[in-house]
Order: sequence, then C-alpha cells, then structure tokens
Amino acid sequence: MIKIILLYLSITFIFANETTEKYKGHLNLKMSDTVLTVGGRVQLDAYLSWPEGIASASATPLDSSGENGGQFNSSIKDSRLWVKTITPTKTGTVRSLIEIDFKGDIGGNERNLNGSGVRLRHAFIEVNGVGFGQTNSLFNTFVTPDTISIPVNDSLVRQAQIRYTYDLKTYAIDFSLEQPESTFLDKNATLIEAKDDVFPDVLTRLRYYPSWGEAAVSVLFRYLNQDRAILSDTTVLSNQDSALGWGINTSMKYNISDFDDIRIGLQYGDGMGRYIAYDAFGSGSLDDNGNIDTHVAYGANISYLHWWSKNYRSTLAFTYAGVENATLLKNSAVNKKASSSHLNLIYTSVDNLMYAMEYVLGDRTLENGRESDIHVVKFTARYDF
Amino acid sequence: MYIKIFVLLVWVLLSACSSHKLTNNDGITHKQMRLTHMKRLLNDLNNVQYTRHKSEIELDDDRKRYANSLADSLKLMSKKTVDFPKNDPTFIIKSSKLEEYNNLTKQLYTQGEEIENQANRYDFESLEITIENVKKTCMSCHNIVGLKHNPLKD
Repeated sequence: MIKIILLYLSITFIFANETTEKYKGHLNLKMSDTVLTVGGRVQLDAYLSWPEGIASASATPLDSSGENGGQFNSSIKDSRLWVKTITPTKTGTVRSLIEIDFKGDIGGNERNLNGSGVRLRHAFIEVNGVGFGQTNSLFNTFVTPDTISIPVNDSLVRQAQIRYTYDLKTYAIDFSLEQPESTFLDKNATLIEAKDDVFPDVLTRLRYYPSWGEAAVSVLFRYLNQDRAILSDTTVLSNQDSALGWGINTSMKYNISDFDDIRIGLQYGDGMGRYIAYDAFGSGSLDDNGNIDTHVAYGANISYLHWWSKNYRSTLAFTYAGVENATLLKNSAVNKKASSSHLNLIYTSVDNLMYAMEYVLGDRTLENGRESDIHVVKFTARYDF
Repeated sequence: MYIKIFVLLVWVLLSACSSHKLTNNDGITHKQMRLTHMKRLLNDLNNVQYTRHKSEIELDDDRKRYANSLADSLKLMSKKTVDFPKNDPTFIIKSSKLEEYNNLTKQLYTQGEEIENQANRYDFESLEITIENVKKTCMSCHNIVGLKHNPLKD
C-alpha cells in the first residue's frame, strides 16, 4: 500500500513539474483552450533638461529665460500592464489584447502623491488576419530608431479600426479603415478639431522581410471636412469645405556586420496632420471663409545601431520634421520645423532588465522665426515581466 | 545638416573598427551557411520586446516571423550538413561517429519543425526550450567533429 502511495506521489510530482514548466507565466483557463497571459513593465524615466521641457516638434520650449538651470523630472507613467489571450478555434487562432499605461490625466501633482491615471492603449482582437478594436495605426513608423526619447518626426497614432492582414513569409500587406479626426489651424494660429468627419481614414501598408533587414511603406488617404466649424475665437463658419489628405511613410532597417544596422525613415504628404510629429502641424488651415488649405508636411530620420557586446548597445540618430504652412499663417506662432539628435547607451540583461542613458539635442522653429534649442539627459530603468 | 551626416559616417566607421567578433573560425564550410543570419535572429528574438510602437500582438507576430525564419535556416542547415561527409573534402569525421552525426543532423531538422509548429501556435515558452535544445544539438555535433565551442553561443 505504501508503495502504491509513493508511486502515486512520484507520478503526481513529475506531472506537476512538467505542467509548471510548460505553463510558467501563464494562467491556463481550464474551461476552454484559452491561454491567458498577463504581462507588462515597470519603468522609471528620469530626465534633466535645459531649459525645462522635452524635445518635440510641438513642445520644445521657445523661451529659456529664467530656466537656464534646467529642471529634473522623474515619472513612472510609462509603466504598462497587459492581458492577452490566445484561443485555438476551428476557424483559426483568436488573439485578443487589452493594454493600459499610467499616462491618463487625473490632475495629479508632484507635491505629495504623484497620482497617475490609467489610460487605455490597446483593446484589439485578431482572427485569421481580420482585426478590430483600438490599436496602432498602420501609418505608424514601422522601423523606428532605437532611442528612448521620441524622435521629432515620429508617427504614432492609436485609434479604433478594422484591419485585414495578408501575411506571407517575406511579405505582408495590411489594409485598414481607421477613426478619422481632422485638425486645422485657424487664423489665430490655434489648432482646432472640426468634428465633422464623415468617412474613415483609409490606409494600407506593405511590409517586406528580406535577409538584409526589414522595410515597410504605408499609404494614407483621408477625407478632411469642416461643416460650419467653430474657430478658436468662437466664430462659427458659415460654409462647408472638404479636401483629400494623403501621406506616405517609408522606413527600413539595413543589417550591417553581425548585429548592427542602419535605420532610415521618410515621411511625406499633403494633409497628413496628426499622422506625423504628434499633430504639431495640423492637416491644413481654415481661412476666414472656411476654405481648407492642406499643408504639405515631411519628416526624415537616420540612425545607426551598434552592439558593443551582447548586453550593451548604442544608437546615434538624427530626426527632422517640417511643414509648409498656408500663407495666412506666415509670421504666426505656429510650428515650422524641428529636429533632434540622439545618442544613447542601453544595457539589457538576460532577465528582461534594461538600463538606458540618452542625450538629446533638440530645436524647434516657428513660422515667425522664433527658435530655441533644448538639451535633455534621460535615464530609463525598465523591467519587463 | 551636413555636419550631422558627417558625424554619422564617422560613427559608423569607428564602430566597425570596434565591432566584436561573433563569427567563429571553425574552418568548416557551414560557417558561412546562414550562421550569422541565425545569430541575428536569436538576438532579434531576445530583444523583440524593446521594439518601439508595437503592441503585444504585433510583437508576437514578429516573434513568430523570426522563429519561422530560424526554423527554415535550421532545416536548410540540416539538409546541407548531412552531405558534408560525402561532399566536403575538408570535413573530417571518424567512421565510428558517422551514425551519431547523421542522427544529430536529423534531430536538427526535427527541432526546426518543432520551432515552426510552436511559433505558429504562438507557444513562445516552449519555443525557448526548443532553442536551448538546438544549441545543445549544435554543441554535440561540434564535439563529434572535434570542435569545442558552441556555434550559436550568444
């Protein structure tokens, strides 16, 4: 009898170990074949900037008077938490994701408790190449520089969409209809949202994965519309006008030596607006009669990633973004161009721990000729779990 | 702008001088056989989470793609290495070790298929274990032909 019990315990122990190993980090939902995974990251960002601010096409500070000493800031708001599921079904594998970060605005301050609001990043479902929900736009830069600060020409939009992906081994093509949002600069040089969109933005992206690296081209078409929009001075326009906006975003990574690579990105379009440089430029402008004049915007980035060893890597990057504003905005305090240069050293350990230090030199110029530089030294510590 | 481009070029040249040597000098023909490509794929798999602007679903797609590419390379390598004793005059192996060698090349192919299946199921935890087993297979094979280093060592 004792032998039987010992045998049972041994078998139980063996299978328990096997199960523990196989589903390590997973909560296996026994009622179905769904595997639910919880993950995320804890991240501390600390930076010292002269003058106070960040380097971006819309926020690089213009006046450094009284701020020459700079300011130190730190935050955990880029920490994230996600839950994803994978469920094999007769029709294909269903994948879902919900992800949040802590960048939501709840009016917290740095005096006492540093409260941060929860913000939804992704809520997306995908099955057999068809996806729907909120996630990254297809226009987002596919190959980005390996920087810890945001390049000024960054294309980053997350929004509700319906997407279809046709994936081959070395090619993939995506189509999507995405949430529209037209933004215009009015005669007061203020960015307004017309809230008169009538058709989703139409996007497609071609991805290519050759042995020499990766490359992608995204194309965007959008229907810009204003119908008796309200300007920043509460003037209500008396007409309706529309225009076609478009944009192209290309990016590529070219492998050199064993692990190093060069990354290049180019963006160009008329009426791209919020799809480049975090909406620093607006899709176009509205004159007194409510006519839309779309703005040509462009951006570029080039970077070189070098691995010093298995755990240490560095990137040197230059980024640029600019716009051709409408005539009525000449001499206005609207963004005209910006650039940023990045140099970093990143350490990653095998147990998902990362430490990074980056220096950024940024500048921004307005249409009226005002310009300014900013220096930022940023430190990031991050643990992915 | 020209100064920035100049600095970038100087950076590329300087870093090329200091680039660590990750290629091996084992003197056998298959060192050119996508070994660098496989090392890069392993490095990409290890660092995929640091890719900016990608959701977990997109990162899983990247992991799947890198793993499938790795599986293709392993299967190709298996097919090539099984012919080394016949086709490569520089490849020397004791006749007593030939059967073990052939079994290891077959094992490499099987592991490539295993990686493909796991990647297509998004079973990346099992994939990690299989990749470790691939490294052991490579090491065993190198031991047979008298090479003491692991070709896929990080």
